Amino acid sequence: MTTTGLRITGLSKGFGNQAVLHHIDLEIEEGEFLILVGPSGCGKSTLLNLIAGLEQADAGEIHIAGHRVDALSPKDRDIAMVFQNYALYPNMTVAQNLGFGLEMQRWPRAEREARVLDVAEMLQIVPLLARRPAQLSGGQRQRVAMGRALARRPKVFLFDEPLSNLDAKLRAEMRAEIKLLHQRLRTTAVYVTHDQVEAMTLGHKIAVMNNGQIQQFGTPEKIYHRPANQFVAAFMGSPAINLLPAQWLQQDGRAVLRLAIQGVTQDWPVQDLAPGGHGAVTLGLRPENVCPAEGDEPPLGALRVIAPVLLIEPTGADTYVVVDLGGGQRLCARAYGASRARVGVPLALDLLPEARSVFDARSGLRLN
Amino acid sequence: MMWRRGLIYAPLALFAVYFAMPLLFMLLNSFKSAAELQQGGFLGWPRAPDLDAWREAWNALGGGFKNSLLLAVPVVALSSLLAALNGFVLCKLRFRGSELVFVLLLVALFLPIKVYLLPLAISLAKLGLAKSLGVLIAIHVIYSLPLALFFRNHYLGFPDELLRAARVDGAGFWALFTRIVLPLSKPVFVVVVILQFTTIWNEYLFGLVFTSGDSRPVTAALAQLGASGEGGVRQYNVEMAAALLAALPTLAVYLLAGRHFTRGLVAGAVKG
Amino acid sequence: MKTFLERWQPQLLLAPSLIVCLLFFYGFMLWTGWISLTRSGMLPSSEFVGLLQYQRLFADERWLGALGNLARFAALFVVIPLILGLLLAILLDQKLRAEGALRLIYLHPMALSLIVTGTVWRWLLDPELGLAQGLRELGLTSFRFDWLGDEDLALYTLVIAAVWQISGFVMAVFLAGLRGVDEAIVQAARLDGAEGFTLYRRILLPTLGPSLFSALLVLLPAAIKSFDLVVALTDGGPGHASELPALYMFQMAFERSRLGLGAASAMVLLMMVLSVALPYVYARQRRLRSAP
Repeated sequence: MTTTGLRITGLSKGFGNQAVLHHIDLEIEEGEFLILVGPSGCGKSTLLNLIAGLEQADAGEIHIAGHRVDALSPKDRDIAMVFQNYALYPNMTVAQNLGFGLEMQRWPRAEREARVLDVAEMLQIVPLLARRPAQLSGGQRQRVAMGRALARRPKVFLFDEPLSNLDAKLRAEMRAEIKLLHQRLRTTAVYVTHDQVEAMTLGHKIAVMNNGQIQQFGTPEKIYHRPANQFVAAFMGSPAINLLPAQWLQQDGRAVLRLAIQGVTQDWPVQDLAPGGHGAVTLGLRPENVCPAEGDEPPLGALRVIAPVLLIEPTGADTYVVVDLGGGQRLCARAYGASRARVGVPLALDLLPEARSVFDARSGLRLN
Repeated sequence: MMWRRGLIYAPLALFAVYFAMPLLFMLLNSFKSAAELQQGGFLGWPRAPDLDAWREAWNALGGGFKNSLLLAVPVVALSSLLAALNGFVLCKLRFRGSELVFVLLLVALFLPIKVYLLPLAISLAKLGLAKSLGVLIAIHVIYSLPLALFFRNHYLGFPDELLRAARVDGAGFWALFTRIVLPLSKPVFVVVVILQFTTIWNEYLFGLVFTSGDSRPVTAALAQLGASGEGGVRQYNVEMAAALLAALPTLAVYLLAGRHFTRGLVAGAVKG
Repeated sequence: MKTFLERWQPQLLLAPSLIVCLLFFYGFMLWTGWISLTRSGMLPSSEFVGLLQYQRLFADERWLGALGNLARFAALFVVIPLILGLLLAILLDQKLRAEGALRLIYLHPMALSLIVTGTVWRWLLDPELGLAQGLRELGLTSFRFDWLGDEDLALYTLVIAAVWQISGFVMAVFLAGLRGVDEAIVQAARLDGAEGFTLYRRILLPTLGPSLFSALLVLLPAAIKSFDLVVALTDGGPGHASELPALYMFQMAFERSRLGLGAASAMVLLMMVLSVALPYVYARQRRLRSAP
């Protein structure tokens, strides 16, 4: 039986009259890596602060490793945090920074120094121990920030957008290091980011948040391929998912999605919607599920459309082709390798039924 | 554009004379004998420069000098540390009523403390407290409370993340304040210490009223010297030497650290 | 739950200072006000007499004279340093090599006690042995300068000394304001063709509103509080010709043993300062509250 690393039930928080978090429920197992991802203002940082104990919730419970902690101060929760701007103490050396938490716990000096050395070796920052933060590079500071968290061997690691201040290359390197460290240490972790690429690559479980609520909680695969609502679909994935308005109709006893392509309607039969339903819907298709047509007939279950090309974006490995569907609608397709498309020239595209999402046009909720 | 440079430098030089002249003449004439000054020797170089004036000045002021030191050092130390604590709490520990406390301190900053002479004197009499340097120190520390606003302003820019990290690391308030906040407050401390030292050293009225005789600070001693010459023949050479003596410490501080001094003063005046 | 200590930590930490502040700044203000409403003479009494002391105060020619002096003194003490300070700031803004030395000269009076300042100028303005003597040595043998002994002009000796003391500070405020202008704006103006006078008049000086305000905020209360300078330079003399309200207050309360009268004059001084401080604080709080 796996033990619960972190469990949150009914957590709510408001500032003044404004509710920032509504009734959050979450549970992850010990050793799992949870990502909180969402746009600015969605409440992810507030949630992290509540888990850390830096702020108090208005309602709800937080359990870490089986113990209820929401009444405890940060130092009693057995957590450690890595901050966006590293928050290293400028007046202390790296060694003192690493050991500060242990000092606060009144560790004897010898043991403290041993642990600090241990952590420094793990992160390969031993030569930096006598330096001050001002003398370190961004990547080195990041490591020291992580080292400070590691030194306390907490039950839960909390990361507050730690890589946002690094340039792209360094970010990718540090991301890999964090992942390796986690695989090695197997400590429960909660990681906040607004970068959905980080979310997908780092997490065991992702909680996509918006407006103080969890829009969807699940594995990266589930979130990517079966988004629970339109927001999640649009937020995750780059380039963004195609969202097309459509009508869900019953035709001869079968369900179809009626699309308007260049002023002409086309019907696409669907099998995975509830029988007998109808109404305005939004069709979600990721660019990799829209391919330049090959052969005379579209593959089974696919819909072939023809539309003039608006934009061609080569990215080296692939090419993204954007076509104009009329009425202000665009469709982005992914072509592997180079594409023979030309701007202005009509292009035939196959819309594939795999990983197709259908959302209710009004509520945004997933229907299929 | 040589004439343009002249247009700029001419008035600057003129005013430089206005500003520099007093101290220069003071210095010059403090080395003259009283007789020489009597005979109307203002401009010239001292005929036979001697230190008599300085000796007499030191006799009159020496005790006061020591007293001012005994006064200034404890007041500056106590009031600046207290102000740092208050400024930090006011700024970073959000609580209901912090705005009110801020306003109370801001208004207090303007209040002319000379008007409190009356109630202070009456209280002292009622409590049976004798005039002393100790009492003066206490009074100065009390009326330096608005200094906290300097620190509050400075701590507005203090990174909150650092405080959160320390909380997560388990630091209580005092560990936070002494291990992290204070070491990082050196710049504002320099300004406040210079400002406070100058204010306390130069203060006259309270120093006069709340001490007596031997424990008078140097400004009171200087004023006494000036007053004693009133109505008779004034020994200006002694008075100038005495004034220079009294001014020496604050002038020295200004010469050494003046940039911080004016920067802080201007910043304090332009504060939000 | 957080312990009592934790929840009330900020208030507990501030409480001692706050209590002291309330008592010594505001409590004493009320007490002085109370005394000003009693028949206190040499000793404080508790006999309430309404506005009697204030009536006496404003019937006293000496007090009225001091108020008149304050008005004239304050006007000059504010206007002259503002003009002088602005002029010096503009001149010093020209990135001169001698800037450091000049700043030292202009600003050093700020480091001096007003007693020292008063003592120096007492000598410089002495009709027999001061600057006048120096000018006589230079050849103007019949030069006379006796403002100190002149009932009408003694007040202006205070102005000379006070302006000397404070102008450097005003200059520093304006200079900081001028230098605080974004370099990009100055460059854009230069590209648009603004140079010299025009640059200052149209671009730089208009930004000095806040600096002017800050200078005023320091100058006005300073004028009202003036005491040390008067003691050292003129002692209010000749007679009471150059007396300022703060000196009056001190003498009434401590030398003439008329506590009630002294308290009344103290209250008037307080009201004058508050009439500067309160509008400022009020406007500031309103401005901050409306701009999130």
